[in-house]
Amino acid sequence: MRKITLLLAFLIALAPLSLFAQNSASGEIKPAPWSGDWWSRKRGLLIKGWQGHQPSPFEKFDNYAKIRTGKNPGVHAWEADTRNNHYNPNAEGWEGHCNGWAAASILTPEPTITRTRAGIQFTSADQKGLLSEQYMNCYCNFYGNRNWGKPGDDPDDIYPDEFHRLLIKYIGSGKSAMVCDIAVDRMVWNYPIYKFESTWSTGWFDDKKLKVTTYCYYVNDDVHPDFIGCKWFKVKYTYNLFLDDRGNIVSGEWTGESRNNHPDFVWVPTGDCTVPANSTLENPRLDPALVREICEGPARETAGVRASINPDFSIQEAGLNPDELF
Amino acid sequence: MNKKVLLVALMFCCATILVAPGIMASENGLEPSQTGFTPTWQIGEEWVLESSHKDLKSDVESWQAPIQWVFKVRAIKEKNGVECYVIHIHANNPDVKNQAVLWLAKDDLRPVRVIDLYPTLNGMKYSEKEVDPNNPQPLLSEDTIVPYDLPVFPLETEQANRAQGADGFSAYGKIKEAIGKKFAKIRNVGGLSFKRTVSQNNKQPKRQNSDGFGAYSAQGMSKDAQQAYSIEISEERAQNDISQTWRQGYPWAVASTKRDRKVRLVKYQNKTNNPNTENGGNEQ
Repeated sequence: MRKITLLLAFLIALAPLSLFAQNSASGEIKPAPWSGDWWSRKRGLLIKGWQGHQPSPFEKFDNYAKIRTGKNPGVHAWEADTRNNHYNPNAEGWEGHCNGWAAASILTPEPTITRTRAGIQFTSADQKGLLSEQYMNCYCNFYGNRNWGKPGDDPDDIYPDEFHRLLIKYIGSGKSAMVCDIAVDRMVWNYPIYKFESTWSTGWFDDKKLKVTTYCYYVNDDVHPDFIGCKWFKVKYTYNLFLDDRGNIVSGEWTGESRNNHPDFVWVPTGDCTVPANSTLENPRLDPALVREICEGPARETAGVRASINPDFSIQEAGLNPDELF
Repeated sequence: MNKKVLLVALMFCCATILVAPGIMASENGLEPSQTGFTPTWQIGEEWVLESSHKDLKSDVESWQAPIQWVFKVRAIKEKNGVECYVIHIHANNPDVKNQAVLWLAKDDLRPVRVIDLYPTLNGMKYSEKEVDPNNPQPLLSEDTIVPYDLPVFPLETEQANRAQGADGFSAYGKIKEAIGKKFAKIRNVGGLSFKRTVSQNNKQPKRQNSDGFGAYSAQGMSKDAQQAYSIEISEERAQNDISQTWRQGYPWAVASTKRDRKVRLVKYQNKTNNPNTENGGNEQ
């Protein structure tokens, strides 16, 4: 009798564990975005080149454009003008082209081989430099709010429930890598996330809370300009997600070290954008058509013209049948 | 006794003063009666929206080059037992490859099926947005740059808000209450459901928008055709409120703004000048 009582007590004690169900989600974008230099404003490698790499990427571009069009577009001169704040020896150490690199690494194939155009050799690093500049200004879907270090900025933003949704929505579904500013303070450090692994469980005696641990794999830009491939680093985030009576996630909170170390904002680049008048976001002298010519050759141009003639081609390319849709 | 009579008389007077305006308004036909507006379209009809996008990650306030989006009614087809307009949306700029296809119920434009198309390194792909035709909600163009934000129709405003009271002060003194609706927006993603409350408020439009959208005040159109509906759609904890202005006689919102996007109708076929067409929108 006593044994039965003990057994019952043991089973009752274990009962809450049944609520401690483990769940998980993961995803990975293939091919992964490529690593590349983030082209610091302070160092100015795009205009100065680096040891063993002369002329610089932008000098090569100007030379190529002059051969192709008969005129020097002045990409190097514009970039070197400190008033445009793309090169500035007095810039803060974190300022640079990380957003351009991050977008280009997601939206364009990695230039892995040297291209010789009009007798000029464009190495992988040259091409990555041109692409990083071209994508400084791009269309994107933006989530959260940038922390400017001002009173009223919400230190918990981006909220973990939104972050978790985006991870599953974009990376879990294979839709796209996404870019995070990993610095929760006023500095901006943009890195693409291309992979995540997330596990969660309900809390002891609290089935309205999911305790989540997520590992995010970021593509690293702390590489030599000539680096080819994807070098990554991993960051662990912890957070709680809160459920309503129907099991819907309605809010969340960062926990542990993630309270002060979580993404500030998230954005997903969707395409290149022409430079608006008087904007210094991107070097306006850099012709994207010539960059494409250098990095991809004329084949892609043909595809673009085809799509512009009839947008139904893009629908077909996605695997849908316009005749059935319409 | 006299005091009682006086008190009753006083109360009667007060009650009369309080109730009279309501009675008078009713007699004058000025009671707040609901009206509604739902655009109607025809196969082949098309219009163009221009969207400008703000770069929220930039150090300085910066608006990017606008994109023109062609909206075309490609078909009217049945989907899940509902007769729908099939709207195809694509950019005029071939470099912008995002597209969308919307199935909107012909009766009230509630979303029945929504497809987002987007470019990837492996070519174009598509995803279907989760919509529940039996539980209509504002359609938000989240996770895409295609600006197809759509409120729940019919759009409503209070008849009384348009009426000038006999005393001439109504236009100044009436508090124009918004007509609000709330929706539980559930996003099912990877086996999890994320819930937020989305609200839609129909407000009295301003006479002139400060951002220049007031230019879309339908020059040369009839007074009825200029009836405007100002809509605000907001989602809790999202800080991404949408303000839209719809006008009878126009196929889509003439202006729409949110924190990182301004959209305006730039080309359309003005159907209201042609009394033989049914495209001017329907009063309900």
